[in-house]
Parts: sequence; C-alpha cells; structure tokens
Amino acid sequence: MNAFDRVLTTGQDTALASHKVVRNTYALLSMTLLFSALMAGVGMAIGMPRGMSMIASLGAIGLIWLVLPRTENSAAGIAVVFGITGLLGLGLGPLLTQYLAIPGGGKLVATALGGTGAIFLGLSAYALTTRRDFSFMGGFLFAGMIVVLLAMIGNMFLAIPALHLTISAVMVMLMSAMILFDTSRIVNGGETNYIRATVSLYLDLYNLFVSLLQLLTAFAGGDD
Amino acid sequence: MKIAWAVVLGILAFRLWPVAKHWLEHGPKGSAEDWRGLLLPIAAVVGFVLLLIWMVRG
Repeated sequence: MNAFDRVLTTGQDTALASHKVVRNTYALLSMTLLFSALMAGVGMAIGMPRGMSMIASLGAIGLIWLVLPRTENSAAGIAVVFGITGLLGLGLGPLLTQYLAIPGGGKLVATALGGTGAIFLGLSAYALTTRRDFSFMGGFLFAGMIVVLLAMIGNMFLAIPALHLTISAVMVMLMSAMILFDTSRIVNGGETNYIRATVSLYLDLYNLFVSLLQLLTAFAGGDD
Repeated sequence: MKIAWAVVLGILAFRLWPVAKHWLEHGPKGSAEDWRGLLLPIAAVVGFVLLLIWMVRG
C-alpha cells in the first residue's frame, strides 16, 4: 500500500469512526430523553417536593463529576448515563408541576418543549450537513458559562427580575451555540466517546428547555 | 437551600475555570469567516425564540 492509499484509508477510517459515534450518540440520546421524560412524569405523579428535586439534581451532578469519568470507556458508562438523565428528569418533575399550575402553564411547557426540539433538530442538521468546525467557540462558550453561573449565584440573593430574564436569554443563546459546538466536535472527530457526547448533548437540551421555559413564562406574564 | 445551590453553582464555575482557560489558550482561533458562519444559525434561533414569545403572548 503506497502513502496515498494509506492517507485515503486513514481518512475513510476516521469518517467511519465519526459516523459510528454520531449514530451511537443519537441512539443513546433518544433513549435517555424518553427515560428522562418518563422519570419527570414519575416526579410529577408522586408529587415530589422541591427539596427532593434538588437532591436528585445533586445526585446527577455527582455522577457526572465522580462516576462518569471512570466508566465512560466501558458498558457501565451506559448505565451511568441513564442514572444521570433519570435523576435530572426526576428533578424536573416538581418544576413542571409548578409551571403547569399557573394559568396557561400547559401551553408554556408545550411551547418550550416543542421549541427546544425544533432548535435542537435545526442546529444539529446545520452542523451535520455543513460539517463546519465550531470548536473555535470553545473558550468563548466556557468563559460565557462561568459568567452566567456567577450571575446566577448573584441573582439568587439579589432577585432582580431583569437579570433573571437576561440570564435565561443568554443561556438559550449559549446552549444553542453549545449544540453546534458539541455536534461539530462529534462530526469532526474531536469527540470520539459516544457516552460523553450523549451527556454533553443531553445537558445542552436540558438547560435549553429550562431556560426557554423561564423566558417564555416571563414574557407571558406568568410567575416563575 | 438557596445557599446550598449557590455553593454547587460556585463549585461548577470553579471546575469550569481550567476548562475555559485551556480552550482560551490552546483552542483553535476562529477567523472572521468562522464567526460569520455562526451568525446565520444563531440569528435563526433568535428569530425563532421571538416567534415563540409572540405566540405565548398572543
């Protein structure tokens, strides 16, 4: 095999590997989204209190920080992904119950859910078809996330409605850009682990949905 | 509960700091064309969110 053939073969291998990561990621993501929705339903059905919601979310964060890095290269990683998404879904239950209790809450939740799905599908299709490399946004996105987190901490104590609205709007933009960033990394071979890729995309979707719901509620005049 | 969440978010920001630093220092730098390529999808998202807001207000 000459050098040219080797280059071609390596290129084909890389393309096949990234194709496999894309396929596995979307398969696992769709299953975890269904499981998460089921767990959110359970959280609503049992009338889970907000305190438990926080514990479930903390459990998910613990799994992401402590367990996922040790299991992401094994089959156990799949169970951990279901654990993370199940706990986050369960934690979403009380929040959804709260939103559904306000007038027109059902419409708000449905609009946020449909909007999240449409944004995700549109941006994923854009990143997958153009195959553009959006990894140049990495520094900007992570620095932006730190600024948003600090603003969130500040507003927990200041409780300024305009800042809350701004944080939600910025989060929608950041998570949209994150979807492009994460998808392009999968397509272009920057992310080769489908378990890690699934968790990244799931967190983008989760945060996008919650932020969009808060934004729509604020503009609809609801109480969030 | 508020303080506990603030602590969690603070730890999250603290853990994100080295990641952000790494990407800012060693990540690829975008050209003007790269950033222009980002404008179209982000503008579409902004337009779509404005449409959703208009729908829920109507």
